[in-house]
Amino acid sequence: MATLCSNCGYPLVYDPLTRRVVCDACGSAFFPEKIEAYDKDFSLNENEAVKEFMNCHVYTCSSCGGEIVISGQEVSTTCIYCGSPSVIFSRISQARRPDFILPFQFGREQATEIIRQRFKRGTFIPEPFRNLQPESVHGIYIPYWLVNVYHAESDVIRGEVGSGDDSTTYYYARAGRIKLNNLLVESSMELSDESSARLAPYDLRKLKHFDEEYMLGFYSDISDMTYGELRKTADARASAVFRTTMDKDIRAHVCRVIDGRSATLIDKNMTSALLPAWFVTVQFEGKPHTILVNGETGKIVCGLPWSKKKFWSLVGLVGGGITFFASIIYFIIGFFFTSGFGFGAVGAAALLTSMIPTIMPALFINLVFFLIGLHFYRKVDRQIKLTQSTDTFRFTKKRQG
Amino acid sequence: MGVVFVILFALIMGGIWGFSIGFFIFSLVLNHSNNIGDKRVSDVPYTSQFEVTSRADKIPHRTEIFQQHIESGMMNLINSPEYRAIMEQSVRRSDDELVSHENNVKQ
Repeated sequence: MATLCSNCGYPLVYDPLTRRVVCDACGSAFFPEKIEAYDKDFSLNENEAVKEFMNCHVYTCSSCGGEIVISGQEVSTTCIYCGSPSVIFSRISQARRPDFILPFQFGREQATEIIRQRFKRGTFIPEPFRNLQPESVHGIYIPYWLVNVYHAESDVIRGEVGSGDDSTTYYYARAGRIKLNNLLVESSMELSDESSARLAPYDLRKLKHFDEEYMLGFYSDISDMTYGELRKTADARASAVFRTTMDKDIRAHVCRVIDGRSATLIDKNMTSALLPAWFVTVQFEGKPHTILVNGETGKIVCGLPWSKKKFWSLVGLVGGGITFFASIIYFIIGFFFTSGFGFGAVGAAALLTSMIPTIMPALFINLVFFLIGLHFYRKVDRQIKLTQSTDTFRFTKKRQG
Repeated sequence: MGVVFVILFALIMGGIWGFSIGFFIFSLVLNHSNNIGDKRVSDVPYTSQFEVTSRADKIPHRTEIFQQHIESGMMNLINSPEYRAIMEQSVRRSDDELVSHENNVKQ
């Protein structure tokens, strides 16, 4: 149901800028935690009945009576007919009620401006991404579990000592434990784990005790994670931290775990929290691209397509310049060297033979430059696939009405 | 023939330098421009306590020795009183149950 203004009866909305629940009609503002308790009814009443037909959840808007189709996990939404913000209290039962909420720290206009300012700095970002309208930016609370994890792991690691021809491979065994407190595990299975993990960090000191009024005007889900999924995610995160920390204990470089076992225990005293994010979906070349913004820090998470023509033109232009100067240098070296042997086959052979010690390191350095470049190129490509992911698109599309 | 060879040699070497450096520079620019909000381990907001319980350096490259180290390291960890104490406090629910406070309280 919508929480209505006690002065004029218009639906209230949470305003991140003033940190108040405000009424757009009469301008009244209230502290979320001071909204009268009688406004919140956690029992399932007639007006907010959520009916399930053929795996489809239908919510009846308490303001206009319109029927809205919602997902199985949504707990707050906006009516597509009258625009009233609604919190489905019946879904926030005591068992699934979050402990904390981190309210949005800035509004929709500011989120749009943050995205625009960042995109202006992007050399290869196409024009449609720079012209975002605030109306297309939506706020959502993403559910997380905050867990304390105890992780035990025993591994065999391969490491290299020395460099070049003197490099030697050794094998190391390490066993150890790591305790992680307040590890954030995103608990809405509809949003990809990688997308939500990249939204971190959040300043958990700003968490407030859960109050439904903070959700007014925003979309939100409740946790739909199973213990199996929680264990899997916590184990993967803890193992990644363990291995990164353990690498520092080995006096070798290029360390790689080649075999191992692990066990992860999750403290049963876990807490849950709703954390804020802004999202916007932009269609580009027939594909949806979902941009996420951390609602607390303003950190943007996305991988955007780029103008391939511009990229390769610049590579060609700068590469051509370098080619020109490098060719002159190599020509001068080659010319003077070959002239000593005459410009025949003997000179050419002498040039090749004597230049091999110089050419090989040059080729090696160039290979390193190319591989590092390729690594970044592929990284961007991977992030674009994530931004275009149908999971993220479906998650956000459902909440855009 | 020699001059042609020198010109070819200079162009090939120059081209290799030009392409690799040009590609390297603009891949970095591209990553900075279009890969926004890349995850870093230091971004993950947790506090941690790390402890190594057993170490063996430069062990022979033999599968059975690897397995011995892994097994003994793991046995020491899970047989420790600390592990047993933490296990008592840990979640023990079946994999397909939904995570909720209610489930944890019931334990």
